[in-house]
Amino acid sequence: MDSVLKAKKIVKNFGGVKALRGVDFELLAGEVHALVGENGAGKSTLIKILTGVLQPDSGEIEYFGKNVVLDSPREAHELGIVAVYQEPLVYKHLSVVENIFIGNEIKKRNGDVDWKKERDVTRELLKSLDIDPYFIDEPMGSLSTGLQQLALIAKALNYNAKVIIFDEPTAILTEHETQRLFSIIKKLKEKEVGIIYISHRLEELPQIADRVTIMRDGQVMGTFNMNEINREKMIELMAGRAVIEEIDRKPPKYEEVVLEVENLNKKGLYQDISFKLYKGEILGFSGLVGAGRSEVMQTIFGLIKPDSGKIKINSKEVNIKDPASAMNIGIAYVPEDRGAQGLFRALAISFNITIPIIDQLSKFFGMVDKDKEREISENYLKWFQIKAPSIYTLVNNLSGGNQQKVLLSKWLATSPKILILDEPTRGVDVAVKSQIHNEILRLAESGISIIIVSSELPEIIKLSDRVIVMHEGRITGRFDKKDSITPTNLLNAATGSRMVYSRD
Amino acid sequence: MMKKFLKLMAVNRSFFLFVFLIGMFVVFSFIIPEFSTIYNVLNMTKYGVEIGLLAFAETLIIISGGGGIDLSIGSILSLSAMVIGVLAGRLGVNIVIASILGIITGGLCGVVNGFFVSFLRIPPLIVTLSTMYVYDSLALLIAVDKWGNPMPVSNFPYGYYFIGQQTYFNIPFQVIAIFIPLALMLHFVLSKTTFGRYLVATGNSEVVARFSSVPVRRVKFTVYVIGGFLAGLAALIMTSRIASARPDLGAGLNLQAITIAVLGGTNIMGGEGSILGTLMAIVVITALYNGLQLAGISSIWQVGTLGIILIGSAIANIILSKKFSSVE
Repeated sequence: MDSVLKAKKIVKNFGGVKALRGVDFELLAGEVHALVGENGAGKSTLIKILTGVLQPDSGEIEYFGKNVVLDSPREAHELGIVAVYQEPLVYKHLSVVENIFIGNEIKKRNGDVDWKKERDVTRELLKSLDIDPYFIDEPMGSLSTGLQQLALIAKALNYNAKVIIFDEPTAILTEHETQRLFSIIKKLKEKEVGIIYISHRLEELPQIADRVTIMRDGQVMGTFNMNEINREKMIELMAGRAVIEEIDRKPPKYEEVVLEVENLNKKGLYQDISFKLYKGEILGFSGLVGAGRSEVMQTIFGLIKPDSGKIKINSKEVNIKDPASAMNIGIAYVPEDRGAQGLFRALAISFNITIPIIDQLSKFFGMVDKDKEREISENYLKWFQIKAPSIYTLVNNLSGGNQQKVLLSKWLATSPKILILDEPTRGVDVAVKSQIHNEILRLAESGISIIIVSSELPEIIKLSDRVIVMHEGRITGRFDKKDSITPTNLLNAATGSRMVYSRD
Repeated sequence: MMKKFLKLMAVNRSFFLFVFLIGMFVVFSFIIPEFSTIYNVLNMTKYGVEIGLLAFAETLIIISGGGGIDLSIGSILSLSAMVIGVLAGRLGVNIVIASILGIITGGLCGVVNGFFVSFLRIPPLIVTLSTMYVYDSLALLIAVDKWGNPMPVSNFPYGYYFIGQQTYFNIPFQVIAIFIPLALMLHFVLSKTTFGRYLVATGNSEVVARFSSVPVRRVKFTVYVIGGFLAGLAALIMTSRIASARPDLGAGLNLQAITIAVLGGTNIMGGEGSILGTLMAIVVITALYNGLQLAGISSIWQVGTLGIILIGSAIANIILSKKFSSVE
């Protein structure tokens, strides 16, 4: 088979973070090439480079044997490299036909759009994939995600695509839709299209993929024919021997249950979530992005209303109707997205740190006690070594690491008893990361109960006393013994549907 | 020195307007000798009070973000004015009670707006566009006399007029007793209190505010209610000043109030703005209208110049901030 797309020694750095360290990757015509790896392994960065969204720092890309420079997504698109994302990017209010031909209309002599021809071509495209074209006049927005994907595949074919990249296409499809997608992918193979297939569902790969490339830490760990490798071997390569820092920490006493969650359900987000949190422990929540962990935490914090289930604080059932009532009973939630959820970027550090407790800082007539505000803000600035000219500096002007420290300060200032940290070290450098880790350990030592949601295995393994793993909205693993908390065990639970237990 | 001056103009909207005001004063004083007399300067202030209160209302509402705007603010004024007029002038209700009920009517109109915006989450533009028509109609409806025509009411008791017509040392009563205290109070609320913090937080990002346990809905609801009360108060002052309640008193004031708030530096996207800035904009516009009038220019030009000044200040701001407000 011919090589369609070849990436050679691709290097990409974001600031100090090495996202890709010399990646080689080859896609053949008519093959389905799976790309796997845990979050942060570099899959998305590689795809973005292959579709022209990002430019590599060094390395070459060959397309049908010729060197190409992909300066923009448009350029990649015109060459015939197309990506179909999990949440398809579509014009919701336009029909399927309009979506397929937008910017590329078939015109009559007088300049009018030739609707008849466009609809004929659309029908032909879909029929060539064995899809019944009954839905071509419907607005895209009214179709299921599965049908939207099909329409985008038809669009790609209309562009004469030679490479189609699927980014976790089956994550939100029903079983039936998944099977249909697979049969269409097989049709695409017959048309000599090269397919890159990214998925966290390792069990579905033997059914669809010809080869698989495994990535970890921005490197390719190996490319294998699908029949030469099994699931265990893939997980071993994905997990690798990640450098896990050993820390000196006494396990908590497991005497006092501070928080108990019983059979929490929310349709479409998570099912049957039950767990206990003990005083002074660090409970890790592992899993892949989109497993429903953040949603569970946001429910405990009163941001999402569950359909059913109980939340108990100190064995008493509580009704947490909003974040304010969660805060009043001692719960703090540090969200994963600093910019969109955590901080007011256009406002001062002091404003951000004190906003949750501003009511407690008021004197008469609701007037903010500026002295107290300054005192609290300056304390955190000093204590966390936040690098800023003053507490009135705008958050926007801080580096990512310092912003993260401001975010942590904001919630520590509420003096929580239960601290929920969602990706507490995302996008910060190594020094800040270890500083934040030390702080988390110190807080647990002082009797605060901590939940850490993290997609980074080394972080979970280093800090957690116990770990719960979630996969597609369900708990798929519980690890209570420190020596059972290993990368392989956690990944096994995070990628599969099998329940993994390890208990005393 | 010059650079510092221009930079301050770019960064600080109130200072920008202040400089503009001085310039305008100088120009008008040369053209019209009576413009800068103490009598004229003090007397003109009363014309800024009613639109000023509405602009303060818009300032708070626009800061609340999420497309926060109140297109019905002038219509609330009309309705409140007619409530006072009809109760006192036609039904013979005690003028104090009529005035209080008029202001409460304004507050209730704000409650309706706030309820739809914050609890039913309908976009503010849609809500207040709808209530604008409804309040206008209600004002006309209650203005209907026994012959079936909507008519103004002007037979207020004599004692009522002190609110809008009394002066002390040439300073109008409503300026010193109502407008200045209210401006100080609103400035205090917005810049010094926890409510002010919540309002700025909500306007900056509703999501972050929710994640920060800010009572977002209560905050948004409250600003519309405050807005309604301010419009009711403006109705009281206006009917007293012109000694008449008409169902079209607030016509045209809706957008003028928004324009002045924006001219004063309120960010139309929410989260940013100040009472001081809006106050400066009110002073500028009031002085401008007065100057144009004294110069014998037809009042037809008034709103036109308002528009020109708004777009002009936006352009000046862009030029200045491009040159001087970049981080150095």
